[in-house]
Amino acid sequence: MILRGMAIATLVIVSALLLSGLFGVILPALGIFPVLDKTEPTFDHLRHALAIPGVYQAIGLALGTGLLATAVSCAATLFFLAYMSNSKRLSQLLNIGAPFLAVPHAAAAFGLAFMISPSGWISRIFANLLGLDRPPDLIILNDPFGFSLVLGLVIKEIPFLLLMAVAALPQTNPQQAFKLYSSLGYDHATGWLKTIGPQLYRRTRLPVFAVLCFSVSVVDVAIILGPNTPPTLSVLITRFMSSPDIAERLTGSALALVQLAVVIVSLAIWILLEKLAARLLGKWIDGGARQGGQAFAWIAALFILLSTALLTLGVISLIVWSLAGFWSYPDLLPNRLESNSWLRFGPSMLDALWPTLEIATISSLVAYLLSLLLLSGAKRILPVIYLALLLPQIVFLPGIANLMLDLGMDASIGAVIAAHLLFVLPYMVLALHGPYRGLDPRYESVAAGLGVHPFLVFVQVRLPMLIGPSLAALAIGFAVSVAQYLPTLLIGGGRVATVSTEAVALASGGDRRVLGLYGFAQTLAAVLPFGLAILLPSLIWRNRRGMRNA
Amino acid sequence: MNKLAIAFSLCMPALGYAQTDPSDWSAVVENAKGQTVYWNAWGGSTTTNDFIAWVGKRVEEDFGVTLEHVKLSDTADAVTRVITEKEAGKNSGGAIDLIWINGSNFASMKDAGLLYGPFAEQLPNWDLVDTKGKTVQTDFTVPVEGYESPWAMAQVVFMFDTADISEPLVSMEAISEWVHANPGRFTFPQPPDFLGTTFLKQVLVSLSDDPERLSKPATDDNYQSVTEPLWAYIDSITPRLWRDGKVYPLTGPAQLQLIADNEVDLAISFSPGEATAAIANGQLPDTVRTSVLERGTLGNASFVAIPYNSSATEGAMVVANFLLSPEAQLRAQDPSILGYGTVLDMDALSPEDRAAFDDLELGIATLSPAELGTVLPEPHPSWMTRIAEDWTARYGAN
Repeated sequence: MILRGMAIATLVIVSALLLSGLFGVILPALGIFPVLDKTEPTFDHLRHALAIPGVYQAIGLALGTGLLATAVSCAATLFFLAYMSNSKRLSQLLNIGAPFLAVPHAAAAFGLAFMISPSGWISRIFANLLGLDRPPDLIILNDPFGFSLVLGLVIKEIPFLLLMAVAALPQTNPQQAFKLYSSLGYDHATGWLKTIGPQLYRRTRLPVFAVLCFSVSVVDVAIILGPNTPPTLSVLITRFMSSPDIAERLTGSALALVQLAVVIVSLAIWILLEKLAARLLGKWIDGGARQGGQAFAWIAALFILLSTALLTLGVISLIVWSLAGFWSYPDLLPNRLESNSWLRFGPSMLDALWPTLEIATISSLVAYLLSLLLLSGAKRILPVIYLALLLPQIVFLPGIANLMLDLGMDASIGAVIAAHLLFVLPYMVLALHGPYRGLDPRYESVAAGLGVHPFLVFVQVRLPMLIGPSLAALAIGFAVSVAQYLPTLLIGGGRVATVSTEAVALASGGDRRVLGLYGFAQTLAAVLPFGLAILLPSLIWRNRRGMRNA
Repeated sequence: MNKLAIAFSLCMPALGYAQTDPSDWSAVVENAKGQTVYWNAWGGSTTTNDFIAWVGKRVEEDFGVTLEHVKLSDTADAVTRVITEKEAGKNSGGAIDLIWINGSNFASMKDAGLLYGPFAEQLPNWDLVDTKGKTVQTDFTVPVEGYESPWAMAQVVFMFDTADISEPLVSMEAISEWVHANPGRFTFPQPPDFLGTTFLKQVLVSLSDDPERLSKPATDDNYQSVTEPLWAYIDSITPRLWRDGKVYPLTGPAQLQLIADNEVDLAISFSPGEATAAIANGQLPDTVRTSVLERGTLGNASFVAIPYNSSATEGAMVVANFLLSPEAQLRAQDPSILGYGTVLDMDALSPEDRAAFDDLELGIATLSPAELGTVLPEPHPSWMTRIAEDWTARYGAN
């Protein structure tokens, strides 16, 4: 009872924060903005927002790139798992892959940009072979259709979906399915896709939705890789929100409401696409073909191999840039390596690193406890928690900043941790939801039948069995916190500096050396917990064969 | 509700946040001791960041004031913050104590009553400021009235790579001819970025036969005719720009990378010393030089302002005053450090200080004050806002 009460209280606080944030944008969108002495409600700003040149292209781009990135990430993840279905190395491979999840989006995007740009590393190889000294004037980055944006998103979302899917995999009874489809003569990939695939997708649907909402409203990656004449809707919003003309914020708020509608529409389209895919898949399953999945699995494996290589080289390029002296096109490496950038920016980076780690540690630990509370205490109203992932940050954060001010708790580390919790908590619930629900109830029934107190059942049976997903969730929460930019900036009032706020501020100057240094620091801060998440379960379960993949 | 909050706070006795009268300077210094000043300044320029860190060290030593640089990606973030605080009725103890600001950000904050002041002309070092020769009492034609204190002069220069351009391009016509002869080798930061908009303003001013009109607010009547030459010019060069004018660098410093990558050969800068400092940092090839236009280039001052609800007004004033000291100005003008123009009047300085300024080396790519030539005044901010919007409608949404 107490647990349930606490769970509900948590949800009430979370939704109150979100609602106050939402009102903080709905009111200005409707023309109510007391700081400018505007108190008369009006639809003028919405009308004006929809008359901005390029706004419909911006909406189209947001929808198109978001849906495409999500579809490609989903398909690649599923087909890749089908490819790996019979491999004992799946978990090892994931161990290598998981840290990629921790590479912050902005850092990954910068690395990728240096790979694929016409003056980037790949182009330099050709330039050296062909003897060119000027890069070709081609539109690859920031292309008008947003393909490089999609690539940047996909590269970052696949590791997240893979981690989510593998965490949920044991509940689909893959061994039994394997025995069944092998005995019926299906090849591995086809059999896996027809038996495990649909179950697994159902269990990872929420993470997929989160990926979709994120991709439709992403700002930093879209600024770096996306088109800019016009940009995607979310970038357009930040332009208005950061206009020197304070009255433009009314238009920005109106656009933020449009963004909200776009997110909802994208979800509706996605659900339609799911139905379509289910029908096609159903036909394929009913058809009884024993082969056919293998080719897709191969393509997915190849795609993931290539994108991982791109991301790895991108991160390496960040490190090289942080050590570069002058480095011109078409040189493959800087003409000299030096420690200048590290000496100049290293000390202030370290200053920012400690608060980053402090905030991430506290917010992920608190979020872990809260998510266990929510998962056990508030089953039906749980979806409320995901609202924080559906609403674009730029939409409701200024409103929350207002609230924190009213409560007199802004610009402190505590307030920043609370704001981070809003984003860390849903990702963590997301990561734990499937494994928590999918746990075979018979273990606990047995324990309860032996007369063990429910609390002890929870602590001695459920928690240990969830150690793998728990650590993965903690690592994700940590990485999410490390990467937060807007909440840290707006709620911290700029007084709380983390590697992400520093990195984004420095990124506006485009100096690849500093970006390299901070990208590296951000990556390191986020990768560390993933190392633990990978190591610990195999240490803890070294004498339990059935739990090795937990 | 907000009015209520304001009224309420007015009734409260001013407790810890009493603001000292700036004309009582010894009291200001006394009260500043031990304060922490959060200076919100654009963090995109690494050389500027280093300079601010040095200022922090010095004011700590001399005045016991701790300076924290809050690195912004956009000055408007600080404006948002102050608005948010005002909305929430937080009329004292705000999170921002000092903002690096000018132009339209200043105009809108001053307009909305979000700034503390007047204080600038009561600072002791104000006496050293060159109020006659430099535009430090108007900011983009808006009267400053002591609500911000100047700390550096900026002027438009063009950086060009002598490996590709042998002679400086000294007029807008020459730039256009060169762009047509060398397609894909020039671009500018995408408006509404301030430097990109500055390029548009520079074209506007350079091609205008009556610059006087630009010092007054743009009107619906004259906007069309005054900006016609500008759009004809931009129409003609846009298809010949880098990436056919479909992609633009997002900020000024991003252009440095494009020159280093040999993507472009020519770029606009608002700091005569930027190229020299960038060469020293390995960001630009040492073949880059700078040039100005024959008929002059735009110039303006960078200022610092104090939000009305700053929690360290005295400390902020101490920092603003330190920025005007010959020591800080000399360091800012040193091309190997920052290369920003001084706001001081050389005749008001002591002979030693004047000699120190005279002894500064210009640096490999910096023009001398004489070579920098005519400084043209900034148009009224309304022109900037309108041409930035107009540019986006014409070229930013295709």
